[in-house]
Amino acid sequence: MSLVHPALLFMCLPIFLIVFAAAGRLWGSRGALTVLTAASLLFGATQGIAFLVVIVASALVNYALLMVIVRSDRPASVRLALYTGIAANIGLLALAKYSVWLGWIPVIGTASLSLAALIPTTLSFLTFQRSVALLDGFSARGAVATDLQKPRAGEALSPANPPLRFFAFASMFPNLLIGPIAYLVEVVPQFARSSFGRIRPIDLSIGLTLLAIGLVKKFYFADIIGRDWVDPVFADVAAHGATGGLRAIEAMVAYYVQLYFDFSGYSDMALGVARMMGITLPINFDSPSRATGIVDFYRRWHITLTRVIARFLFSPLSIAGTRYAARKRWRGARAQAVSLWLPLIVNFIVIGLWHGPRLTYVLFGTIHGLWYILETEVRGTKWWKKRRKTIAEPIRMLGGMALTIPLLILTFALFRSATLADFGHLLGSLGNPAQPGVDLPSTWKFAQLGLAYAIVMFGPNAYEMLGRYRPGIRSYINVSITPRLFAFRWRPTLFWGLLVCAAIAAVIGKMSAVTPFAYQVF
Amino acid sequence: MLTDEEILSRITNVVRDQLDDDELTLTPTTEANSVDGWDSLAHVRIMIAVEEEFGVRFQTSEITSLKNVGGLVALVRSKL
Amino acid sequence: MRAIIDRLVSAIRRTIYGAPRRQGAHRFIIAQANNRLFLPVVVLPVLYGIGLCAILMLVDPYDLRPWGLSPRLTRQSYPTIEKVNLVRVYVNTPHDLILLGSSTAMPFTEEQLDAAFGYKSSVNLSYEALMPPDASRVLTAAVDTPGLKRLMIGIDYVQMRADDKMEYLGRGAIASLTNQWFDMPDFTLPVVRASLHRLKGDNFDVPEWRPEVDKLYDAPAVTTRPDIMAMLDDSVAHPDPAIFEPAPVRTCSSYPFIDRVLLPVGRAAMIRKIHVDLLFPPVPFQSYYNWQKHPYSQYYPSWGTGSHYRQLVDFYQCVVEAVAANGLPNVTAHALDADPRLTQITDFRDTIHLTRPDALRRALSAIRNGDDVVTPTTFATYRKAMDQGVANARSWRWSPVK
Repeated sequence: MSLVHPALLFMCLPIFLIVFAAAGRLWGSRGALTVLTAASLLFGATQGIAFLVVIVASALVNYALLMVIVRSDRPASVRLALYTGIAANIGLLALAKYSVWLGWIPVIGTASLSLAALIPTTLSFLTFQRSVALLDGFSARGAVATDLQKPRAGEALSPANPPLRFFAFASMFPNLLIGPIAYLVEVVPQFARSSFGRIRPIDLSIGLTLLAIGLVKKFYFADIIGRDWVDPVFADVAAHGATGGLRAIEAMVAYYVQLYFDFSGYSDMALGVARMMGITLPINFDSPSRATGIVDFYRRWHITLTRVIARFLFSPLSIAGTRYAARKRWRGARAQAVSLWLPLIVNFIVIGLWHGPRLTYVLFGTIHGLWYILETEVRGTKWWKKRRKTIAEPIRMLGGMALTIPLLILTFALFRSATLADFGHLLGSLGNPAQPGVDLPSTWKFAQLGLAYAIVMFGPNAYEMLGRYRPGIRSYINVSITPRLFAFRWRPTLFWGLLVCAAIAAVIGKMSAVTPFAYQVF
Repeated sequence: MLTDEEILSRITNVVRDQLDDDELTLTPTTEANSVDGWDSLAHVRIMIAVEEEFGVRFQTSEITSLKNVGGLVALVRSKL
Repeated sequence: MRAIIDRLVSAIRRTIYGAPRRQGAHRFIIAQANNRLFLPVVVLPVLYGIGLCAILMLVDPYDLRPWGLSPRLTRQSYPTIEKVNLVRVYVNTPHDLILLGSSTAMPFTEEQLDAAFGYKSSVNLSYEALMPPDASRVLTAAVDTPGLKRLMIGIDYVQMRADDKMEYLGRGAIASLTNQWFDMPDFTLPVVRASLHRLKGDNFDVPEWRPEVDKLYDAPAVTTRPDIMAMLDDSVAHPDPAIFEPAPVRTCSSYPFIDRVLLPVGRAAMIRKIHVDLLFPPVPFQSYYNWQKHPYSQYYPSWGTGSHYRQLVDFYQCVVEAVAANGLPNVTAHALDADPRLTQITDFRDTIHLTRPDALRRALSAIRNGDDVVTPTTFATYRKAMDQGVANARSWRWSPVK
């Protein structure tokens, strides 16, 4: 079951909210947390019993290790617990996800294949969320210990509280499957608030709005664009090694927005569902499709993955590299190479590989890494620093987009290709003559793709529109480049109510055919 | 013993030097996000330069979990 | 006037940008849009969705959940997509006969099937573009149908495919068998309305399904379609010479249909004492010229060189020999395509679909009487009849005046 199932939205979710609110009223925040945890486990069970067993076992292990990390007085034990936890989490993820590459190893290969067969659901997001919780515990021991244990005003410290808060955080159903990957320090303090467990009308309004936006993105844009423009062409390339030139371009251009609508749609829904119970999750997308550079893009695209990898992989590597260069008194390119270039390349290859065991992802990561390095270096030159002040900001932004978007479209097509050969065939098809009758979809379909592009290029994103109500936690502060004419501001009024009402009503007719989210497999 | 003001002023000099911006002023509530050019890449350089300036050494987690300049001042003081 | 426009603009600005309220704006109707009635309006479609969901969860029309009302279906009443969604219901309730094939088997009505074999609860589950992977899943489930006496399988050239491709309806049929309680292909308005009827004690049905079903059976004859007839005439008058060439050799093991569908289903049926009829559907002999000249088919794109119809006959030979070699006395193959009583073009809706009710009844009685049974020993005769039929059709011409 995922968030787009009508059975979840129109049966499980309303029942959950009623029980959650009742438990909150009767037994306070602890009652509400218990209901949230139980509901999350039931939700996990719909992914299969094997999935449930694995996520519960992993939560128990992570909880025990986190307790050692925040409570132990011996630094050695703390480190040991941290490394054990990270190794266990990454090991489990690798087993479940990379069986294609592990198959040849005796025992491990077999275990990996059977685990992958038992658990078709992705563990990537929840494994990262739990690993990062251990790291949070390590880097902010005091705060995490307090967050996990702080009793409500007037209550005594209860040994029952810590595991409950951790379990609720580690298996929360809105973001269990496809993120956003939240930090423990972002979510657990919200559980500790005395108001937790009360459902407020404003939270419901914001939650329903985000949910409606996500549903429209999924059912009216992502699925339709994929069906009409993208899937047939990639299937054609996979089957015949070629396709029409115009179709290849159309598919690449369409996939760029399809993936955005698909994944950001899910993220909006996850934030929406969490908000209904009063929990604010981190924002995952901030108008990435109109990024003015690759650096800007990664501050706007899948933000919760970028920040995790940057914080726990890039930063330590870069710190070590910078120290090393400082100690060796290196300057110039050599210093840049160890303090920046190498950490960046590793960072991006890991981001690529995180999506799965495919060479296309490795190449995707490598290209983005090199691109990131190039852009950073160019932006860092004295020439550019002087030059940029002479160019008007709108021109600079448009120029940045003109350089960035085509290359992103190209690398997204690589990301979508099942094999490097498929991607080669797709590029090879660009010069092919048009196939009459097949190449040009109807005007209506063009209008739909055009509308999709207009929205990602000029429209405000959900979090800008809802900006007055703090719809999500911001990790990066990005400049908004929404034209003022379209800078709509949502308020819980009749006008916006009618819009959201129309959106939900329009989506209801489409919900019988649930297609999986693209990121459900990563 | 250095005062917080002295630490802040020396940090400001380091940041000005690293970011190539002589007009930059920092207060304890300044956040990296609000300073032009102080991105995650510059952050590492700045922190290593601050280490050198005060002759201290930060943990990786200390470098990545700072909230604002005030936090950095406190961190430096705790190491001195 | 100017003042009114100003106020209107100000009110609109406030509505969509949330600009500060200006004095007097609230007097306009549009300012009503700014009252705080957000939730009451948004809750309406949510309640509607909850209502739809509740009805479906109570009735469970597709038998996806452990609970729900017992199915009550109207006979011969479902459009193909509904029939596909109902596959699980059909195989979980008692039936005497199940027919499964692709579009060539779809026109047989349940009444015709009952009448031909003296049954009471036959059902035709055929849908367009049945392909080996979905045929395997649906037939495996069909064999377990309570009380099943006879299983009829329509085998046409789509079953020659060697890949894993499935079409929309095939995926739907598999989904019907594998869906879990929370999957809701039933979340559509007609299904909800049909479920409401079931809730009131009537059958699971809505009136608008009827015409869709009738369209399938009441199609006019192909001879009323000058465009198709002209094309056929041209294909016969100026044939692609390859039609008389031998077919390229293809081993029987290259047809997944035989190993993955026919034999496992045949064996399972034998254990359950179910008779299996394999139908080689009738096609007008003129159409083989058309296949040769215009070979494009989205369902079977891989005709090689050489005669296409002979490739099909070779496939049928593999089927017949596999049945004999694996000792399946309960499986009979019926070569309806060589039966001159069934291949008259006037009985067809287009170049391959037999639809005239009397012709369909003739086909069923031929099956019941075993008129067209083909075995390894009689296969040469069948092959000769096919070659003869194709050769004889060369003299056919279409004259629109007639």
